[in-house]
Amino acid sequence: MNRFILSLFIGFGFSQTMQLTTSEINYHGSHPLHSWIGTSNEATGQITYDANANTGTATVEVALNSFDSRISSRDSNMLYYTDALDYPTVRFISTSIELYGDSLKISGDLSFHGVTKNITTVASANIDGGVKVAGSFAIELSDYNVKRPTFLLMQIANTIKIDYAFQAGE
Amino acid sequence: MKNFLYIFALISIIQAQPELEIQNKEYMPLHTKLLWGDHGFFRQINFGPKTRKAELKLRVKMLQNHQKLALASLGLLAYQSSLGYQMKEGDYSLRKNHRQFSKIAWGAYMTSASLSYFAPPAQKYEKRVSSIKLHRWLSYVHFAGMMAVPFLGQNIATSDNYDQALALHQNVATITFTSMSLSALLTILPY
Repeated sequence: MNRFILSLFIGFGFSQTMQLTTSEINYHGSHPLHSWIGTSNEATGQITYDANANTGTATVEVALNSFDSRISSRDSNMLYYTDALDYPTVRFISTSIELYGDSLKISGDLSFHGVTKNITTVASANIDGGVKVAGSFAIELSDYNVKRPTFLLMQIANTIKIDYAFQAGE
Repeated sequence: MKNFLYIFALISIIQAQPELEIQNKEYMPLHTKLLWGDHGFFRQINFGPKTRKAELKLRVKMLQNHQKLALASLGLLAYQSSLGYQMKEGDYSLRKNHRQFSKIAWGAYMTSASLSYFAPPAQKYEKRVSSIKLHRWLSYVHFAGMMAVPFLGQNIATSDNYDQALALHQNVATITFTSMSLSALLTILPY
């Protein structure tokens, strides 16, 4: 896989930038009484690969108001608690990408709610019809100073699992 | 080279932030539209928070209190229901309690309903049916019931047909309590 990705980039030249063409980001929220998933298909960003240095960068940005949890009042609450009027987007900018066979270890800065934290995620990658990357990671709402909503006097869980799948191409 | 890539990445994501407008306003409930719509009553009299952010804050507070009071109302209605059944079985000593608690239950319910109906608009609306939409539709049933039950209760004492008046009060109260219980249960569904 490494060689395939390398040849793909080398074939195009020194450095190649590809835009995200399709995306799906899911966040998994939970509360003692129920769990839910909010989905966005509106992430934008790009993957840049530097063949000489055998490294790359990835940037992804998604608007918080693009997440749909299938209950609009819950989405509205999420926008309130994440202060989406002040911080409307979540951004990820990679700081390192390491290739391990068909897997990528991606580290980078996740900016959410005005706080930037370094996260690491392991993703699977394949180049079937473009570069496809899928993986997951988890964040703690308290790390990003997000006050947790309460429902029927009980708070939602502090941990939010996030999974993603991106396809990038020219 | 690495720095160049970072700068490139940063520049590419610095775009004008889209203003967060209320999404799908057309699906706003009628009562919210009448009060908080673009030409709603509160807008006309310039009442309420000055910013959308403050509106959302107020909304969340109102709905949090709505939840608490609604639970209290449900408990009070369950107790009222129990008193009502005992009275029907012949224990008229409970009449005073039933009457007094009806005022507390009614007051708690109406305060809770007001906190929901008068809350500023959400940030997002949708066309599709969800558990929360069903929760709202059921609220029209139990709200109508709560408006009628006290009058139907008073009617028992003055009606020419005691049995019919009692049955009507009891049936409307049962429908009200059942729809309110269902409405509460719907809120814990995930979708």
